[in-house]
Amino acid sequence: MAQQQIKGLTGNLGTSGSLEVYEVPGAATVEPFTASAVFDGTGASGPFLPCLTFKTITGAIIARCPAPEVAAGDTAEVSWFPRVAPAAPAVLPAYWQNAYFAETCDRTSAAMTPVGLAVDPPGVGYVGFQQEQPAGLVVSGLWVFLTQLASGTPPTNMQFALIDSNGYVAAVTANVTSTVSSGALGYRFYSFSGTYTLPSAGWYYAASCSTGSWTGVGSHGPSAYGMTPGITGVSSTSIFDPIDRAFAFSMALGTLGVGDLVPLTGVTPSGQVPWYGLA
Amino acid sequence: MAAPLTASMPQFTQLGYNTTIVMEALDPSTGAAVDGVSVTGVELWADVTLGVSETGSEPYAVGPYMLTGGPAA
Repeated sequence: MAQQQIKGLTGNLGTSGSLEVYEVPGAATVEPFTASAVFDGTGASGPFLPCLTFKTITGAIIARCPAPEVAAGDTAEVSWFPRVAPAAPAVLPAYWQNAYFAETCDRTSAAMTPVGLAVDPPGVGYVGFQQEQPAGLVVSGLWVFLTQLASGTPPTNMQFALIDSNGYVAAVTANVTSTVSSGALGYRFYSFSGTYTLPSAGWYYAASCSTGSWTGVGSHGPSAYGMTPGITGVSSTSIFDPIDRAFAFSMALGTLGVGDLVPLTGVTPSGQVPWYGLA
Repeated sequence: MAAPLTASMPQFTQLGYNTTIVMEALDPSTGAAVDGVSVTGVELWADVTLGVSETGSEPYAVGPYMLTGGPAA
């Protein structure tokens, strides 16, 4: 009986960049089910995608199966099996990060004026506010005060998100485009896809993200939102109060998912803007 | 602690002679190899057909089998 030809089970991905795990011997056939491995990036020269690759006898690639990105210095245990839904990118692609969208806001009138817009639609505006929050606070969604309905061409996607101090999306809503462009004005509560318990005290950011272009409310949707402090049912549950500060950060495009890294480069606190409330 | 990640792979029915299965670490932007990443604990489970029996042409199948667990008996 043919013996299985086993090649290196452990090794270092050096300049060749690959570790040959297994080669199907002559006369045999293999039907792979699952694979797993631990990728230690302690000495990695940069972020990397753990990848399982199938090659033909000539070295041609049959299939290349990348796992989500791992940062340099981190270690990941990766499992591959069929029918796994594609993972959200760990870092938004670079072309999503090419502009800044600054906002100022008068918290008494809840009016906001976009400033410093570097790229127009179909770019995406991220607008957020930061405040220091206590550990252990459970956040289930976001209060938004809608001051004007969007009209014309709405964004193809709009989400609200809670972003931690490292720039990672901690909680995010589904696409709320249809609701922010129709219905009554006033306070609305948008639930995150799942609750999030703040693991530590620190700065957190409430943000909105939209793709496409708004017509009738300025070029970006966030100018249509605001929140007036002191409203029963909102202020009592708000974790964003009058000490909030506006900031600007990179624009992004696409659908946000928990764990996405939102580049906070360019954060420039600029005033007091309590137009978000979390509950 | 290693962060657990999952990824999809094709559902192959047969991979034949000299097909190789490779672990790589690739640059997210360029696809080039990233140096300095070590891989341990590789496990690969598969159904294996080891050629033909001694008496005929019927495929001799073993599996599921962990390919990286050692040679087949």
